[in-house]
Amino acid sequence: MFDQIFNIFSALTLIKVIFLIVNGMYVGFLLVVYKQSRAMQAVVNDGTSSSLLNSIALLNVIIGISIFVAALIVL
Amino acid sequence: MPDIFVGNTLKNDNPKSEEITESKAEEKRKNKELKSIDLRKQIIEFEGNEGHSHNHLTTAYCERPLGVTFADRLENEELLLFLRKHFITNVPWIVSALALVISPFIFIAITQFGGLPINFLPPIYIFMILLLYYFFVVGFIFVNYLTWFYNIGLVTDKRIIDIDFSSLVFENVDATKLSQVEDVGYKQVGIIRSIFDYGDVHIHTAGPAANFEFLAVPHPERIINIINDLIGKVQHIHV
Repeated sequence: MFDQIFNIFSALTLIKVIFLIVNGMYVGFLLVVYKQSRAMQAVVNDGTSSSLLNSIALLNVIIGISIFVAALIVL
Repeated sequence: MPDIFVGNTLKNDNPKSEEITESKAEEKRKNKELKSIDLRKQIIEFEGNEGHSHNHLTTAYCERPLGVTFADRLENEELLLFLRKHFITNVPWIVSALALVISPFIFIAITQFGGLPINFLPPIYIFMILLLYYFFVVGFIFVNYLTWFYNIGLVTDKRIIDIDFSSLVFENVDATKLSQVEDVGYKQVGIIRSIFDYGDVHIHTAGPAANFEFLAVPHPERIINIINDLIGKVQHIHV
């Protein structure tokens, strides 16, 4: 019984670690997306559309960091 | 000899006549400038379609777009055509995204019928995994859209500019003067391309400059007509 609980606990810890690693890598990727979005806006500025895309890219980064923090606390 | 002498003295003595010749020269110069402006106006005033002048998030073809700026813009350079791939070319990744959106529901249905055991996971874990999954899907959609959005072809009254952006880390900007364009052609093969009126425009340039390709752009015939028209007028100006 104790072994079984311990196994589940360690499995959950493993899932949490994997979750955080994957999410951390994804946030890194989103930062690249944001940087590229800004770089492309400097090359071609399509007015409000480009600004909107830039904002969405930044929002993605913020949400990614929020999920990372939430996973650290909740899981 | 005296005549020449008299003529010179008359000219020197009468500064008004000098002013008249100067003003005539200036008038000629102004007329020349006006003519060149007229020619430039002719280039710009091709059959503009007012319906295409507004640019929005799904625009693939826009004549004389409003509010578009680009890097290294030359002095008095006017943007005439703004091109992207036809929006219909996004259908494959949109279908993939829809499949990714509904696949967790299919997965949950399978597990409920006892196919796969995920019951050992607490609900908060399942919620967080689903949240991250859908965040990935949003990222997939956003990156694909961004790739489409920033693959742009521009035709100005002076140059043709091709902006390529792919795989998020590759960006390439090519430009050529209209005077260097030798030949323009397009290819429209297939039923879907014919129905939605889009195709590949090929622009061959002189010298070592790279050839240009605007792939899957809407109204290719109209685009080559406009470019041909511009080339003709540019050559006319150069002559």
